[in-house]
Amino acid sequence: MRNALRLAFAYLRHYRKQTAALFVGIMLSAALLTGVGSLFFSGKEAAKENARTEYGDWHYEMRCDLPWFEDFEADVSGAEGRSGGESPADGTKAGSGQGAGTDDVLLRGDGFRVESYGVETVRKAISEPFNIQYVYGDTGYIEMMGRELLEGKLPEKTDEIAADRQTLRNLGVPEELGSQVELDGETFTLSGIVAEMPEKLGELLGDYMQVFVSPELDYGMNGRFLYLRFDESEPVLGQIKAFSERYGIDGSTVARNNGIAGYVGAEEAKLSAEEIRTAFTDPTLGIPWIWGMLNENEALTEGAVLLALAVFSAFIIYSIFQVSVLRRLSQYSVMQTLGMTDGAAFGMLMLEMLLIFAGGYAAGAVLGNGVAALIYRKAGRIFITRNGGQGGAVRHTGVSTEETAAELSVSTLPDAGAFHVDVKIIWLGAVFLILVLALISLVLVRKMRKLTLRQMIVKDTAGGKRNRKIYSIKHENLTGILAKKFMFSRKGTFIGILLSLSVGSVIFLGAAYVTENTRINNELTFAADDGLGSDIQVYEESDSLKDTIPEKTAEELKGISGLESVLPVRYMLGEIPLDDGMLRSGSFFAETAGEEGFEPDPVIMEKYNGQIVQTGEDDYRLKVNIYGYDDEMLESLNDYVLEGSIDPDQMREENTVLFKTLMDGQGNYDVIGIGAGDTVRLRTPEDPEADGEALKFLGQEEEYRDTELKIGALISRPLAKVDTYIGDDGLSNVDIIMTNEQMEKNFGVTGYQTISISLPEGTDAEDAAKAADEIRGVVSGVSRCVVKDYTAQIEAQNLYLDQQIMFFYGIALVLLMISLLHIMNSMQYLVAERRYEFSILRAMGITDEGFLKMLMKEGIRYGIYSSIVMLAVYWIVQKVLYYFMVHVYLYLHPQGMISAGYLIFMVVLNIVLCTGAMVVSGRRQPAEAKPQR
Amino acid sequence: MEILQVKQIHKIYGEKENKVCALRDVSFSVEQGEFIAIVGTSGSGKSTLLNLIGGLDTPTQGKIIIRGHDIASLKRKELTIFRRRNIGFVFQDYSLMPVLNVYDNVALPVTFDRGKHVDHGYIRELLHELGLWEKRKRYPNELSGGQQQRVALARALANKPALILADEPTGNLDSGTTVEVMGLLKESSRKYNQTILMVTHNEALAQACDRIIRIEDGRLYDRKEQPKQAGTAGMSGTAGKGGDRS
Repeated sequence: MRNALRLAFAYLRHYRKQTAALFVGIMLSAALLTGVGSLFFSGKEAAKENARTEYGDWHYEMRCDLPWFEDFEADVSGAEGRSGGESPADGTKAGSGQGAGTDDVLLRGDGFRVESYGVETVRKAISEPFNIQYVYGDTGYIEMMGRELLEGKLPEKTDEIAADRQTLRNLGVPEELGSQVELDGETFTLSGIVAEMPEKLGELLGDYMQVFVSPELDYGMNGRFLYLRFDESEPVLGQIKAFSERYGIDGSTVARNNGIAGYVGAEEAKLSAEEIRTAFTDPTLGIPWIWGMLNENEALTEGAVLLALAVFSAFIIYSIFQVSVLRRLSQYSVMQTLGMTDGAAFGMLMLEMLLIFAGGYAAGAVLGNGVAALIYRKAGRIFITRNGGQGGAVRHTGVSTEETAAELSVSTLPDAGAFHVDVKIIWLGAVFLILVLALISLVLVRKMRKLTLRQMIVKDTAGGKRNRKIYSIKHENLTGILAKKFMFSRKGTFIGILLSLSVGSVIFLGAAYVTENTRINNELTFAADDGLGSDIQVYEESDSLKDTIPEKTAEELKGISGLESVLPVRYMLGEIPLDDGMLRSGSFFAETAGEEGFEPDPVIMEKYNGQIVQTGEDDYRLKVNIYGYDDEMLESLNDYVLEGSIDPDQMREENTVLFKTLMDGQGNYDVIGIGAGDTVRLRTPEDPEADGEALKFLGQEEEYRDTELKIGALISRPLAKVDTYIGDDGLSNVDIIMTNEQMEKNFGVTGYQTISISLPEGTDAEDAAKAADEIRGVVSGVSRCVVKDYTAQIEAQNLYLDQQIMFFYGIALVLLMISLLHIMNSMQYLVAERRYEFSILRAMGITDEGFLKMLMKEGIRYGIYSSIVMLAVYWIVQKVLYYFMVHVYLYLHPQGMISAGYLIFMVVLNIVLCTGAMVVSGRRQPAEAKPQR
Repeated sequence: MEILQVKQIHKIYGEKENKVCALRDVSFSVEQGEFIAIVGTSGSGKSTLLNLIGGLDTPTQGKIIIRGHDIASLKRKELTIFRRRNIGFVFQDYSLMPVLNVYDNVALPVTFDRGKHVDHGYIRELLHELGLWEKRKRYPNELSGGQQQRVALARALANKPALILADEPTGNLDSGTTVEVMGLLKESSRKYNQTILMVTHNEALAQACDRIIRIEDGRLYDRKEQPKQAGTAGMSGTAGKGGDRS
């Protein structure tokens, strides 16, 4: 062992360049892998911590006024007794869920570890004036829900209550201790003010308010609920199962905290083989559906990225080490001749690699995490999974667009929080790469053995058909022929080298392609879905068509100096028939889907008789938003065209419209069988200021007018939206868009519902505020007209997107650097392998110039061939990426092809690098000497 | 005509206490058409001498003049070109390009001279002469050792050099093939009036040459060979009959 170590060290010292190349290769790969891993991990941790705040820090909830609870309490008290903790509270007062002992585990059972628990006792529930529950919660519950006491004390007497400020405001109670609170005919005194309920707890347990009452207050109709928090180092799903089994709990009564379920292993393995089979046979499901099911909190995407990085690292390490070993194969052969066994050779190689690996990986992990920590500090938010993004948008009715915008903008993202080193990925990465190293050693030992045998049997390379052509008869210069022959003499090696040369470039191009499309998607989504397309929005916060911004006001706004553009939008609500199967499936809309849990919005049902009405087996009538845009905005829609073209003049002339169609969950736009050139029959109220019942489209025929309109273009998103009627999240509504003039001509609409205002680029916050004030002054007399300044949000969003793109490019750049290192190393290997042949050429009298030319020819050839392989492989990779972007990630209008500039750059870089590396390596060859093997 | 003049050559490797004197005051000259053996024990300096004559190394002191050119005065590129036009090498391990067939291996040094047309007639003649014509499309690893060395010899002759330097050309061959190759060298020397300097440690082979130059400890012991014996003449008789040993 000591000898092997000594030898390994000697080799490392002797082959310094190879050692350095391998060290750098391992270090960069490890830095990339562990750094990216930690960034993802930190983002996830931040999202998890945020989810704890939003949903409460618990995993499962269940009724506990059942006999098994006594066993549980007894077990807890026993465990606390054993660990030296305090005695638990008596039966009626469940003990606090604070962890006992040093490892924060309160109760260890067979297959579960309870870290804390809390008990909520609901004393009474009332529905007037609001849904309010009177509860008593133990300290465990209060801590889990983050409802710490802000002022005063928790109720001790039966006539005392404590509540949060929001509840007090709703009840109209002064937020002062001692205030009197009237509830259900009883009067309570406010003894304390507690923190608000977790913001999204209502999504899980139903919307209600809570007031805390004394434990003594008892109406004799209690409901007790146990909240559990398990040790998160193990998936909690297994733990709750074990827990339920231990105490004989009916699993169907257990509620899960869906907010944090995805982070703590509370999800069931979602896909059965049967489901996967069905997914592949049903065209509406397919890979996007499977991916979506498995990609909880982006775990699959991140896993795929990390796996790709790990495989890339393995490949690079193999490639570099192979070069190093092949250069000294003869020495190993000698040692084998002297009696070194394959096992010993394996051990020596492995030892050598481990020595470099230990240093390289450790340095890489430090470097990667160091850089990642800096990146995270600057731009941590880009790693936080966004909830409710595309496809998860909420329908809004009767509220401002501000909420939609705010909901989707980065301002709602939690703080990035602290950077966390992902120790797991460091270990997993190390184990994976060590296994790879072992495999590499094995492969190399096998190669060595084969080569040694081959050396003994000289003729073995002559297999297969050989080209018998005599080149010197037709060629005066054989160097070009030699370069070609060197390349093709061993086809397997040649193909291997080409593949290895192109792999880095393909990954770089793939990363650049995705980045490019992410940027486009961000910009388009930003302008369309997020409602942040303009700096200042002036809109009617109303669901009455009577409330509009008069034309005169819009003209006044245009007169304000210092505004880049003022784009007014007219609005009308309409309905279109989708008969004879024109709508592919009714399941797209809650009204016609008939699915449990996918209920129609009650407000829309009440005000507009739902978004869609089924009138026959395959016949529907769908409510649509009708917009009038001005020319500039219509031109901007060109980026969203799916079919046809947009020409405002032609639209006015021929009365054609744009049809914003629906997209299904897989990014297909064929939900409605309609296209450019088709005609749509649009029903609108006769009265442009119609109200109430008329908007349900259930009135007499004479109340409505039907207009046949030809569709000029099919588009994927609208720009300015009005979501105060049937809502418009940019995705799940059909919009008919035309010019403002057509709105007036067709429907008599003259007022505007919303006006998008842009400020000149570079306007600072102060100027923006000034402009907003001036605008407010102009619209002050307009009923229900609101002015919203989005400049700060836009700035934040832009920063976010820029950071995201920078990060993507950064990763692509590191990949490129690693692959460059790899290309240079491979070329060096090629030259080193031909040392003997080159020395013959030198002895035969080839000049330095001639030799250089020959190397350059070979380098250029490698550059060209590897570029061809790169383009071919990349073409396939791009197809796959495109599929994922369109159907899984639902990118808006991704480009089918990466910009030619990238391809040209990579081809040129490949050729230059291959040639350069070849020449540099060739220069290291001996000038003139006797040929020596 | 004097083809080669070696004048008071010294070759010293290393410095100070590590100094090794590989050659000391070596002088001799070679006439065109001579077939000379350089004989010496291992480490005597014979290969060093061959490397210096071949321009693969430079002497510490002294001059080497080939066809009137002092090779030390030539620039790097000039030397390379001079070498390939005037010196042919035959190495112990044949040193053939494994990726080229026999014909292209032989033509290779000629093709380095841009613009100089390959004399295919001469190459054909050489290949016929050396019994390789039938095997001209074969690759080196498809040939026997003797055949490979014949290809190496053909390659050395292809440029019609002033001098052929053969470094242990039969070192890798069995006795039968050795005789065959020696015969070819001798025959080439005779037929093309080719000057050949052959390094060998085999005294018996040296005896077949026109002259033997002996080196011991870097010093030269020169002596004119005795008139040829019947046995050595027989060697040349085998030229061209070298069988296929594959």
